[in-house]
Amino acid sequence: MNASSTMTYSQFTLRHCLTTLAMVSVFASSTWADDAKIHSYVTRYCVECHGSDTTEADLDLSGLSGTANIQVLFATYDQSALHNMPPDYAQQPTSRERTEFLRSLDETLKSKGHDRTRQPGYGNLIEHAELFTEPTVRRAATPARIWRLDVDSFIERARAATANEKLFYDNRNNAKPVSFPYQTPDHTFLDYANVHAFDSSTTEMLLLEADLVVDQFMSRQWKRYVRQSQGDDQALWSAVFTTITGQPPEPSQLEALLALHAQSKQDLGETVADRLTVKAILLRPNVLFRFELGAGEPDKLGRRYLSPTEAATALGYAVDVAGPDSNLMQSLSRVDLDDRQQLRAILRPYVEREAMRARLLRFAHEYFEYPRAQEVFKDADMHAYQPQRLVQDADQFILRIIDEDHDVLRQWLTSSNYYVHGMFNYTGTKISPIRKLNGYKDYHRNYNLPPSDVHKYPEWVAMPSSQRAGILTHPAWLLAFSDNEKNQAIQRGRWVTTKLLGGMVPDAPVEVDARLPEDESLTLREKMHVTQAQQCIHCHRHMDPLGLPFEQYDLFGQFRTQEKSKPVVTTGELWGSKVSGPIPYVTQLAESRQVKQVFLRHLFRFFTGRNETLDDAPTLIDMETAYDDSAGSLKATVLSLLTSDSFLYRTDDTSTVKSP
Amino acid sequence: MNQPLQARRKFLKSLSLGLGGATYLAPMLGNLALAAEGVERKSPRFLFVLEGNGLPPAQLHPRNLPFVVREDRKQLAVHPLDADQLPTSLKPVEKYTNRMVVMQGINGEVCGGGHSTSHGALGAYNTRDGKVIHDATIDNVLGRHANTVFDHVVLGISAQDRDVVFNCSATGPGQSAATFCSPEAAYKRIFGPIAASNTTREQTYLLDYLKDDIRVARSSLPAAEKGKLDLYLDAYENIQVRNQRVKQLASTKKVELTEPSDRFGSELPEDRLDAHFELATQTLVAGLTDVVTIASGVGFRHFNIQFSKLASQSKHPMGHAVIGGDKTAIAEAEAIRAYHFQLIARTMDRLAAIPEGNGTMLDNTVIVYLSDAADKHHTQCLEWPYVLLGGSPGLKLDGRYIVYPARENPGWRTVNTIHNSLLHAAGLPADSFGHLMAGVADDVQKGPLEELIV
Repeated sequence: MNASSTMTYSQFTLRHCLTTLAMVSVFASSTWADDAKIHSYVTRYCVECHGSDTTEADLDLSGLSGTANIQVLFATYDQSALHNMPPDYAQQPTSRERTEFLRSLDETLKSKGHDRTRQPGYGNLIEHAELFTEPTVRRAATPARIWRLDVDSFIERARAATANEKLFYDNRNNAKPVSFPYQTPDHTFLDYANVHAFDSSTTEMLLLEADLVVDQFMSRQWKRYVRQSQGDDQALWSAVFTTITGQPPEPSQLEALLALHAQSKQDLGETVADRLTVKAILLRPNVLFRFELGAGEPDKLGRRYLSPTEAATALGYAVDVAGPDSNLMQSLSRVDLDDRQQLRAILRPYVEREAMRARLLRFAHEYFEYPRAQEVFKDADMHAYQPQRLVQDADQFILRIIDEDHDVLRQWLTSSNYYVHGMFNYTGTKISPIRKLNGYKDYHRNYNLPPSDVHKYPEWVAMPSSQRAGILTHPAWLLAFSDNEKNQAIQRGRWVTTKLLGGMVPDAPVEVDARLPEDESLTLREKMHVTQAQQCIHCHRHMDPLGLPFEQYDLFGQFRTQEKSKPVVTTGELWGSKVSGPIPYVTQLAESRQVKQVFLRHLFRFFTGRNETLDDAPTLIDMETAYDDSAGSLKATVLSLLTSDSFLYRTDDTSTVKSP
Repeated sequence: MNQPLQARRKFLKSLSLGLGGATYLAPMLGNLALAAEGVERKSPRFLFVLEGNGLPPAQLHPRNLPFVVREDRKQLAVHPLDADQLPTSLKPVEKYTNRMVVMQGINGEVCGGGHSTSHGALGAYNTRDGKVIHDATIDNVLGRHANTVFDHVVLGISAQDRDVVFNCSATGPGQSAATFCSPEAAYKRIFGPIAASNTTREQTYLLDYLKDDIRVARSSLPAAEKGKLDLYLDAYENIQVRNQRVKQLASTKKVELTEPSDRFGSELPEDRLDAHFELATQTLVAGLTDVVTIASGVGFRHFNIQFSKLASQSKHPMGHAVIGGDKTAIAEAEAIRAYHFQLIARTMDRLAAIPEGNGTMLDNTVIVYLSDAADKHHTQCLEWPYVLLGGSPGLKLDGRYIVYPARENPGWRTVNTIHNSLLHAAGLPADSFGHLMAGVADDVQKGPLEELIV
């Protein structure tokens, strides 16, 4: 930056980036056909209000096909994809027209270097109806990729290699390695394949944290390997390599490793050489990343199956955070991936295992987001606020329905059979084991249970069906979307919009001072009147009416009938109709086919680590069929996904899948 | 432009798209390739000291002046600071009264509020309870401009027993810089190449092997995925270049290396903070970086530190008690703050003893003290107290107490202007840093503070 320059820092950054983009210029171009489609659609559905003569909202879209204004392209895409535009009262495009328009806009954005629909948080921009419409040709596949190991998978690998189950374990703190941070945006699944890698900062952390693993390996395992190899260096390093990577080394890999050991031994001595060679294996890309490139001859659509090892790895991590076991590796080495029936037979026992139960619980954690309750700070120590115990209760609620595996989504959204920790009325360190097992004094209040109904030990409680129905009325979920002083009705509504209805709400513009009035005499609903302002309501109509029914509960998740000495108002709006309160509201959601489909889209994202594309329609259709045919079995649905083309095929690029 | 760089940038770009639409391109290799030693200083060093849990304006207020509450501040007021009248918190730096400016009343509402503004304190933006990092923070921007071995170094203490946390400093959108909470780990990272010669040789073998291995793996990838491994490869190359630079520096300039004391491994926050200040001072003196940030209990969950030598309770209940006017809690909070200034004074003493140009290192070092929670435990950032100490040819740090008027009064200014002033002092005369508030005039939030710049 020039010292005499007076441009702003952001200007500098922008200019620097634009220069670089011009230099990079590797992006594809949009076609004349795309421009023509955009022009035709805009002329028909947009320019009446946003033309050169009638620039509503100060927006002229007549030149959209040739515009260089990225923000206008984004805004048009978002408003069209979310069906905000054209407005309800205007002539509506057909689903196909809208899809084609969005596809062309997407191509234009990609040609300018903005590929948003692949990014976490933007999956809902893909036209929902088209995702559940059988295409002319089934061409689902995932682009060839490498996928950074999830932090929990790395921990499992490190524990297995060192035979130390306590490695990276600290019961007071989250002691997970910081070199594997999640960089996905808020409210999205954490482990997305196209997001994570190791940059300078995380690589530095990795070097430090790898020392912990190597220390443990050398102190606990090294002597055993040395003894078993009986002085044969090749056997020694081959065994160490196999343990840490899960694969025996190729001859060239072993050769490089032996050379590293020999050279460093000569220079620094054997002890140092042993250690650094182990560390070198641990930091290999093939240990830190899952490789999913595909192998063999492509089919007529240009898709290749995962190699047997890749398939075992991909499937192994899908069903178990620790990755594939040796049986799965062996089975997959023999199976023909065309034989989906046999593949399902191999995988069926795995989806019944405890490890898969944990995977599905993690899905529920990231989908419903209720563990966030533990991060919500409340100053008031009222009702012995114990969010972590409420989250544990919610976990049991989720797991029981996973175990029953029947009508899973509906049960998650409507069951009033809650697991509740026990309660006791004592304090003191001597009884801490009891305290750990049970709740705290006044713990029952979060559930509105009379003290006489909460006993010493945890138990299942049938909650009044007029008060509680499913996870969205569970104190853990309610607390997760609350803050120190109030409920977060807007965030709750946003959750429903994105996670159940398949919509999207853009982030609040940075310059907006998104704060509610502080008048303590007003209820939250009354305070939220500020969102009715013209510049706010466009987005808030997709959130506020969908979150306000949960005002039935206070900021500790307690059912209430009064707020600020007034009867609490719990009305909201769903699909243009009024809902009277949370129970009929969640019941209506649970009965919706669209909600089920949106749920399946999220299940897809969790297990594939990417957003769905229109090419994935057959996979989603099959998942829905599997779900319906199995009376709502989540495991059957996941099995359908794991044996789908989307999961097993790889292509060089999604946009280059060939026509048959 | 070579292929790896292209792919890496494309991958970085794709990341930033998912995180808010802005673009961040790491300026890593360029910085490392340039040397700054031996060149006449054009910009000062910076030591940012952030202390969590709010900084009540009264704790910086001179005893000889009537305290005016925010609502009643209608115009700019500037007073000379009198060493004898400094409040308890500032007593340890009284001998530097004439090299200090205390600022009250700067508006920080653009940063939101809560228990902490997290990265917003140094970024001048609202992180929405620490969830969103919009862009690089001021310490990183100043640091990477300096072209030193380390762009900037971030040290800190946290209530959570972790070696590294991510709480206050950022290198770009969504990219938090690591705050090293273990003085031992930080020492190893910074001075490892000098302190133990074998460490570097060992690392050379390791990194050379890994670089070869990454190149082989990279060759099998489709173009779209190469960027991930290029980033990994770049990281190792950066570390190697940096280690070489540290060694080179040590061979051309006498780097006085003090062995880590017991405090480096202590569990007491007081000791760890002491060790971090020692490390910060050594790093600045060695010329390995021009910018160090020390984050003392910054960010939600990190701030509830128990200073067991200085206070009877941890900082969260203490914050509540301070709001409630509890005299014991206020006294303990002031004692903790004074301890921070005692460590600042020690750093200033050290820098003042080292000749540089026509003066000392202190003439070219600016210490910026603030709280990430602005003025109180639950802040709305309606006012943001700051203390600036040290020296810089571009800044007037001359013993003044400056009180800015409250919002909407003539002359009110926002925190952006402090960042702008620091950028001016560093030879980066930006008019605007961070986010701007809608509907607020440019002269309130753009440009540097006239009262500060020369």
